[in-house]
Amino acid sequence: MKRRLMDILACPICKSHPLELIVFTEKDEIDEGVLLCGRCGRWYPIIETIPRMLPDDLRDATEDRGFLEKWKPHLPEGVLKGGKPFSLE
Amino acid sequence: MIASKSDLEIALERVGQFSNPKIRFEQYRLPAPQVAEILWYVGLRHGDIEGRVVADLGCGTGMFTIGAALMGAEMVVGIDLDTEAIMAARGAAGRLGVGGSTHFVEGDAGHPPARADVVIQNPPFGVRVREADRAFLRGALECAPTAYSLHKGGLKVRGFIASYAKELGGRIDEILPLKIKLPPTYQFHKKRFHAVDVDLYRIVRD
Repeated sequence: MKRRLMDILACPICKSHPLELIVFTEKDEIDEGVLLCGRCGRWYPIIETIPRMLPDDLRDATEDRGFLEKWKPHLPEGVLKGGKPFSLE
Repeated sequence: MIASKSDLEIALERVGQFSNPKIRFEQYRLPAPQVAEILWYVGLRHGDIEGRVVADLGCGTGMFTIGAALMGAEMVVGIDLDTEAIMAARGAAGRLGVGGSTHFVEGDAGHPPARADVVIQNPPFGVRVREADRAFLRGALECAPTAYSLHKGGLKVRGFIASYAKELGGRIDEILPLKIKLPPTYQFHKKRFHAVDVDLYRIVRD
């Protein structure tokens, strides 16, 4: 994902814009990271440079929790404990 | 930037086919000549590409995404549920020299994750996925004030789209009728090619 995309990304559920970006790894593009919606508390992973911004019913709880485990030290407590649609609590 | 419709067509021929088409998404790659015709209409007749932010909902192999970037869109975002298709589209965009202005997001057309000036989309024709048309039209007008949407031809579809657009707070501004020759992507397509009447709708928010 290129940073410029932040100009137009919005939460697919509550429509809030802009979103907050946390970058974990970056080469030419942001490789892994997370997008946070400040309004509804949803988080969206960036995996292999692609932001994954699916509605709740199309997300995979196991994969999402695995992502949270993997990047635990880099994620805000709010996401780990109360992030939507899945958290580690 | 692309200077003629035939140059655009030649460039689009280099976008890959679906390597593993998924029937539930009704995936097939639109033929390059019709994509070029559509983008030329959108870009030159309506001035809706150059310098604009364009979103392609259900982008698949990225024909509209890459084509709009080749025609000078400021940025284009291709959105699709199929990550495999997105990866291929991203590769094609790079090969065609528009890696810088194209972006790809895994997302659902009914819940668009971006805002744009213009949407250009080719929703599934609804033969296998009921309600898909509705979700795409709703998503398109949520994403942008102007949307171009390709649908099956016929008066029944026109009536449906007119009333649904109104329900969404929009209206049909113009219809461009087209004929599309589809190669047999799926095994149940028996004929070598079959021609389909389609309409490109320009829908605007009121």
